Amino acid sequence: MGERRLCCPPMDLMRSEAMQLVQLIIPIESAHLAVSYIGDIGLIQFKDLNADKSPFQRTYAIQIKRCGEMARKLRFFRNQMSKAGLQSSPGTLPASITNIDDLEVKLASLESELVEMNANGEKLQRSYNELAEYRLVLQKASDFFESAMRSAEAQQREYQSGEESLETPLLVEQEKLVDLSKQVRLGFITGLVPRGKSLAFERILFRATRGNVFLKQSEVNDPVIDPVSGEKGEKNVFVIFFSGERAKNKILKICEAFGANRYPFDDDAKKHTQLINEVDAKLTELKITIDAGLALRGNLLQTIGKEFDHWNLLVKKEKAIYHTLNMLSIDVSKKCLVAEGWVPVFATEKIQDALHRATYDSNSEVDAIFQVLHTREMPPTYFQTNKFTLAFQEIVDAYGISKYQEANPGAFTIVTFPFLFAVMFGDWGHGICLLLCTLFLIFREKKYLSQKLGDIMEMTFGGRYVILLMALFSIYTGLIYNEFFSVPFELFARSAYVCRDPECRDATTVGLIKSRDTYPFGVDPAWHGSRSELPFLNSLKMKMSILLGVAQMNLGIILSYFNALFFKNGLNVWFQFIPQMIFLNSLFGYLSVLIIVKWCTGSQADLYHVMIYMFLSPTDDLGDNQLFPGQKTIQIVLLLLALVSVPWMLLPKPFLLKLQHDRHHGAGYESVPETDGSLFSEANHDSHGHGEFEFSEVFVHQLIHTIEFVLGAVSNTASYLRLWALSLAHSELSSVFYEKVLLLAWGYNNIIILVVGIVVFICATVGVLLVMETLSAFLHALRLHWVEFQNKFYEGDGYKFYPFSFTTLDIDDE
Amino acid sequence: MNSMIKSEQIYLDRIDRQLSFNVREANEMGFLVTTLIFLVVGVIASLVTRICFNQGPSTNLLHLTLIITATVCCWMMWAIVYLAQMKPLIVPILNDTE
Repeated sequence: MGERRLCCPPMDLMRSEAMQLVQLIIPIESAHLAVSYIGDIGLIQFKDLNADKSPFQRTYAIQIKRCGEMARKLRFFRNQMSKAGLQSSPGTLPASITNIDDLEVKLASLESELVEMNANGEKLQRSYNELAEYRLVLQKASDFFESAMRSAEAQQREYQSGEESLETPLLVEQEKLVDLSKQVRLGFITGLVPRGKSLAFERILFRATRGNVFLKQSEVNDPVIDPVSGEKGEKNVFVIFFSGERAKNKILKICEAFGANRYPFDDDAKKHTQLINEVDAKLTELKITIDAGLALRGNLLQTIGKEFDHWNLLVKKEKAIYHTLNMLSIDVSKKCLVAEGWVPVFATEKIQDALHRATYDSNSEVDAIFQVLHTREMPPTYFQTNKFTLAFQEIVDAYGISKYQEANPGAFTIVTFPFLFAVMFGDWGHGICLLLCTLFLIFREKKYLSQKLGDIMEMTFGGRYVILLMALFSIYTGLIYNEFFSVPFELFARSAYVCRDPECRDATTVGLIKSRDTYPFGVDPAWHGSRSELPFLNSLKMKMSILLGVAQMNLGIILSYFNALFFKNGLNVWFQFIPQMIFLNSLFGYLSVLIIVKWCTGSQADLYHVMIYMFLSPTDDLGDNQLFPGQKTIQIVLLLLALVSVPWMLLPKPFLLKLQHDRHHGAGYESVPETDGSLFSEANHDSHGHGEFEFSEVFVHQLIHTIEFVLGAVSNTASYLRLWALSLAHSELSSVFYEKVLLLAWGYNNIIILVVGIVVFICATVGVLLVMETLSAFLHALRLHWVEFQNKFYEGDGYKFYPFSFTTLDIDDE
Repeated sequence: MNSMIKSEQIYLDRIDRQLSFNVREANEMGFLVTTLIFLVVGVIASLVTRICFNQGPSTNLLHLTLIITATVCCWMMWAIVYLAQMKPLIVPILNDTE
């Protein structure tokens, strides 16, 4: 495909790597190892030969289930580790387990151990909580009973002292006659109830027992852990006095409904202290046991943590290997697996070497067979990128993956994209800020590569080299536009403009005069802040946009020429490239030449007039708009050329394609390499492939292509004016922030207002100019590349090369 | 008397033309000199990259292409701005408040 002239070797990144379809026949014994070594190299994209089988019908479904189980156990471990606050710390010791079967056994035993420890721990904790609540009940209830006892004793003493007074109750004597046997014994229930529910608890008790209960509650100061739910809550200790069996049942049911835990209480006062001491002792014992259990669990989790990453990787690798093995078709009679895949041509030796090693390491008798297949299928697109070129290639890929071996715009995007961004961003102060940010990211590269970053941070970090180039070019264009936070400087020479007379009387009416040499680098600093700044800069930037646009579009068309050369498509060269070049350059190339001539001669010709009347009345006399002698004749010639090139683009190609197709069809079989190029071109233009040729479809396709190009020539050139628009917006915003915020704050001569002004200026600069304008200019530069540059040559309907590689595992699974 | 004034005028005209020619020449000289500087910087950059980052012929070609593209882009931008200011049709008119 495309012979290389010996003078220029193929350029890196210009075209995708040459790929070949290979067939591997691997004996079953060495299959696992072979796939593992291939995964390490990471340069084969396997085709799924079992695509019609469901996941359960495949050969290695059981193995995958095993791996899934192990992965589940590992996830459980990770869960437990994160709950305990531990992290997987990769140890520096060599891994103890490398075999997947041993790992399975170990994981199972560890899991059962951990589950048991957890269950025990929970049980112990629950008993501990219950005991803690019991202790509270003991304490509060005993306090209550004691205080009740004391007040009863006090009352009895009072009664026994026998003082008759008006306050003594009248029914006291009657009370003494009460028969002891008829005395009703009150039962009581003690427990804890959550404080929030205590009021409702009291009310329902009252209603259910018709007021025949006595409830005493006292609050517990510290929050208590509920043994059932395991959560902390505010609780009250309660004592309910009731009489009768039915009341007791009702009360029990109500306690259950309210989640109030009941605890038995002995109203014998002597036993209280003893009981409390017992409970305290048991509590401390339990606490020691629980702590010991936690420490043991912690140790276990730590040992797991040391090997966790390694086990995780092992399990993921195994799963990936088995998924890949499932894609190979099994040839039972020959006891081997057949694999088909795409391999870059340069990796052939590496793959063959890996297969040899696998055969050797697995002690297999038969060697694996490596065979190159010939096919008409389109191979995947693979670019070998490094960390610098990867971001730019991704920008291009986001629009569409290159077709196999067509010219890759990514090679030029590396420079033109930051350059067009900088044309719209041009301010060397802002450029320096961007540069500092991106240098920070680049210096911390190693650290950020291993971390997991948030979405926005990841995008910014991924694009750090793009932003670096953007910043460097911005500094350059900032120096050219002469803007440092919108302030111009006389860096390279004195300004070319001076006042007409020493008192500068005419400076505000007629203006300055150019007496010295042109300012050598960039825009003259005298323009900033003058009244005629905008007319001058607008004219300059608009013309600059047109010139840059025509240049980039020409580059696009030239790339289509190289594509046509590479694919040996003579039709495209004569009937697409040449008329396109003629059309674009006779109109817009001529406009660019006029712009340059007008600048060089200082003529006052109106270029709008020239262009419009070139079309409307080309034979008219130019008069004042004459820029060079013979202009009228040249304009007529160019107009005729443009007119001729439109049917040149449209008509011959479909007819010639039909002629070609008829010739091949009629000629029968021809040797494959000879006709490869033109067959490829046929496949390009009628997607039905070899054999079918719909003339009307081809003609319509060519018509659309022609109309798109002709109309696009005008609209795309105008589209480049966004370079002017955004750079104007940037400089205006920047000058507004400078004059209306900073200078205004400076004018007040007050330190507080100055500080406030500086803060507002910084926030506005960072928020609006550095973030919003950067994104905006980025987007527009991107659009210019994707649409205006790439629609001249790019087809972008390929598919990306996704090799089976262990390095991409972590990204996929996590 | 009249012939003396006339010859003086012709002499002054010639000086005027000479001066404007010098200014014009200075413009073009400046343009050519700076273009040469861009060219030299581009060549030096490609040589430096060839020496420091030599990574095989295809990668070297990529580096060369990138440097050429960058040099051409930067030169174009400078040249456009310089040419636009060589023979300006309008001049800066200062603001009243200055």
